[in-house]
Amino acid sequence: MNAKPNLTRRIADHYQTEAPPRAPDWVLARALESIETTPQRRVLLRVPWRFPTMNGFARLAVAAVAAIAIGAVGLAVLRPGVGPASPGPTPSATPSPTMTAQPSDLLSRFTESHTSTTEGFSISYPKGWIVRPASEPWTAGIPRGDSTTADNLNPGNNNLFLAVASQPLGDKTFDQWAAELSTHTDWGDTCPPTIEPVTIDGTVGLLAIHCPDDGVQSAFVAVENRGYMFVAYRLPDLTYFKTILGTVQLHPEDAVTASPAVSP
Amino acid sequence: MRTELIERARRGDREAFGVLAGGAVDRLYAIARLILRDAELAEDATQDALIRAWRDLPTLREVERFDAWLYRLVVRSCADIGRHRRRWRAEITVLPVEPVELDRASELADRDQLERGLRRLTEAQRTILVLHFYLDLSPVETAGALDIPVGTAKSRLHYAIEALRPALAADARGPVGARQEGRTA
Repeated sequence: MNAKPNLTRRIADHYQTEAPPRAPDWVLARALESIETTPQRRVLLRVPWRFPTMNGFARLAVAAVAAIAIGAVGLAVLRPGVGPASPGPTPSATPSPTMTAQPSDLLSRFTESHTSTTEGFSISYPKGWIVRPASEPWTAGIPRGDSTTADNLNPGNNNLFLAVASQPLGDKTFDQWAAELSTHTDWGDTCPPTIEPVTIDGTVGLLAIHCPDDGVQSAFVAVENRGYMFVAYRLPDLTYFKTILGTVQLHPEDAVTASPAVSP
Repeated sequence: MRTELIERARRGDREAFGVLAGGAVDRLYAIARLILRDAELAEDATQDALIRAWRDLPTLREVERFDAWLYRLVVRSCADIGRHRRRWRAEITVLPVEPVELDRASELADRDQLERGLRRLTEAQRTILVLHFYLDLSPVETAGALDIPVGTAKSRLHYAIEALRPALAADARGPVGARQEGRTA
């Protein structure tokens, strides 16, 4: 008997036996609940996958038009002092330079608000989400979806959440504190995160897009020697995260002081 | 009918998407469970894939490739959730062994041995085996679901099967592994 077909047959039989016939009902229920507050990606220009009926000249023409359009958009965005993406250098309550495209329709969905008296901040979030306040101080590590050291805002499950925690900086500078946390091994990053500035409640902080870019981001800011960390896990997109951050107000004077930051 | 549902869902019709999701959830969950070997992670991966499907549906270029696209999403969710959640969790729930009525003890032993062998494979290796042997996808379809070249899919499948052989042989040399996992018959 040939051993190879025997093994492949065993694998196929095994999978048919092992595969669960049904998913638990709540899996679908919670997914559908989540999409109630999840916007779809907008497709601005739908280009066919192929050009089956076009001749070579037509394809060249389409490619040329696309190249010109992209070039024009690039020029409009990159030319200094021109266009909407040119915020002034002075700090303001306006979100970070990368947040100029903050969609008002998205912002209008954040109708609920949460004020944390232990972490010292307030934030707006979508209707239908739930808030699970922190029940113990955050002193080390990265708050996870099931952590009790951060306020957790989510649509009813931990497949998508925003966690917010704060702690005193202790004797660290903000840069040291943010650098340690944004590169913490808890993220499971396979390459360094992409860092960009973000302004939260008028204070410039850091936003980290963790690697690989699969929907995990974090933001860090500090006021009055208190550091705030925002963990975004699979929010619909970066704009969504930034828009929520744009609603944050920091109240370090209200925070419950935990022990100073511990090195990760 | 299904094409119409996909088109409606793509235009933002949540009800249409609910019908599509209801028809796909069991299959997606089975795929996730076989890849991740963990019930809780599979539940998370399935939810995640459905949410991604809703979010990204307007970007689906070919409606007729909806199923392959869904498989790709659940495979990605398995990879992402497997990686992140394992690090973010205190412990991993081990796939429970449900009592199965089998006539012969040797069949049970055989199944346990294969299960342990599969656990020794990498997630990428298990993924290609699931797509090929559970979903019965051809190498071309498997390549499409994983977004890799057909040649890569073929060689990855070959190496996954070859990796399973020594895993099974190692297991056959001693029953220690079975006892360690508390799964002796």
